[in-house]
Amino acid sequence: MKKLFEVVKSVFPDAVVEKYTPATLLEDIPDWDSMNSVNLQIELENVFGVSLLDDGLDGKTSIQELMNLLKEKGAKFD
Amino acid sequence: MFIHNSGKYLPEQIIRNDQLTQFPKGAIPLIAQKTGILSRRHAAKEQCTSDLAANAAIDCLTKSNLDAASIDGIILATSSPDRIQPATATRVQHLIGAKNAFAFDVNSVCSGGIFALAAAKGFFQTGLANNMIVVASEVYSRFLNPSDFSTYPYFGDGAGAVLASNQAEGSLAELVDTVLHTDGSGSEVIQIPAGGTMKPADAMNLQKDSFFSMKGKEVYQFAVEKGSAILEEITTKNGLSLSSVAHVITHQANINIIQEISRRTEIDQNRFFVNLSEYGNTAGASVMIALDEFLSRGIYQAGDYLVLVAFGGGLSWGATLLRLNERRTIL
Repeated sequence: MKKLFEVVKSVFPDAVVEKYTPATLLEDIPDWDSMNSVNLQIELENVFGVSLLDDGLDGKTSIQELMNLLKEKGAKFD
Repeated sequence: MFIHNSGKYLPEQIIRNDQLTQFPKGAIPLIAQKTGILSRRHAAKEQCTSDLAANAAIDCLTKSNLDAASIDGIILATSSPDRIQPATATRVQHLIGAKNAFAFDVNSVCSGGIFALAAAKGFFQTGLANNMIVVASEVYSRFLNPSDFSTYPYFGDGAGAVLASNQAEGSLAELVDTVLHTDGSGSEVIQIPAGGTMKPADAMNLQKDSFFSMKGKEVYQFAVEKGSAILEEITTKNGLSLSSVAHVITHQANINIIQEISRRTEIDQNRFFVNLSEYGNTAGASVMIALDEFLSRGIYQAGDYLVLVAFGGGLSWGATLLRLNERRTIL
């Protein structure tokens, strides 16, 4: 989870990730919008070495759903 | 102050959305959907902001059949200058051969064109100039992070210019009034953090600090709120109603912003001149480029009111009320 939060922080510098939990909604991340969600997708692919293909983060509403997607694509978490 | 002619310059290189291959293929349709932008222009490597500005100014002077030596002053609106100093306008003065003109820059980011027009009016009122070139030029492609999907697809390079004079005869439009606003509490909403005294180049520890950044949601709210309010403000101030505004040219930032301003002001969207699909957001130059295209197409009647509206970094926003004269072909 820590690695995921680091990625979120790198894309959204104003995100107070210390307070985030799996239930945190993506739309509550400061500056979250459809364009910035693509930046997060690109960074997740780089850091976790997975391909999110063209589905992007469509329909993902929470940190937990992001985690599930990454695990589904084979990402390793410490 | 009267506008006698206009000009523009767009670099030759066209970058379509599908050529932005650094981004996931599935994200490309979002660009058109979220911004209305289909392509943008990028300056060639050897071109800088002053080159684009000079080309736009020359276009304007050529249409006017006026010698550059007749120009008393050049005001260049830019937020992407050639260098920290000197003013980019000084190189424009040299490039176009306006040897008798004073020249300086105005930086009000995307509102720059409106602020520069207002400044020019002051020079006419004080008798310091009879003919001026007001030009807005931007080369944002040099300040964008090619990997940032939230900024890179939005912006394009380009320049627009007008020839302004204190003589009414033969003019295309009269500048009736201007309204300008700034809210410096939002100075970090849109910025290029590094390169100035706040974060000099040698103190820069993150490469991204040298890139343009903006807080998209805040910018959208600011733009639709202030863009709508200033339209009402400038019309009310001049005893006009919003329904009497025949044409509106807003900063060409995003089609969704323009549609929302149209909805809030109840000014039909058909009365908004839009060219952002082709050029993207050319920052301070966007209103001036659109003004040139609007005037060149001659899609208006004598006596029509045209309002220019811009909003951008600073935060800053402004509006110019123009009364259009008889149409004529301006080459």
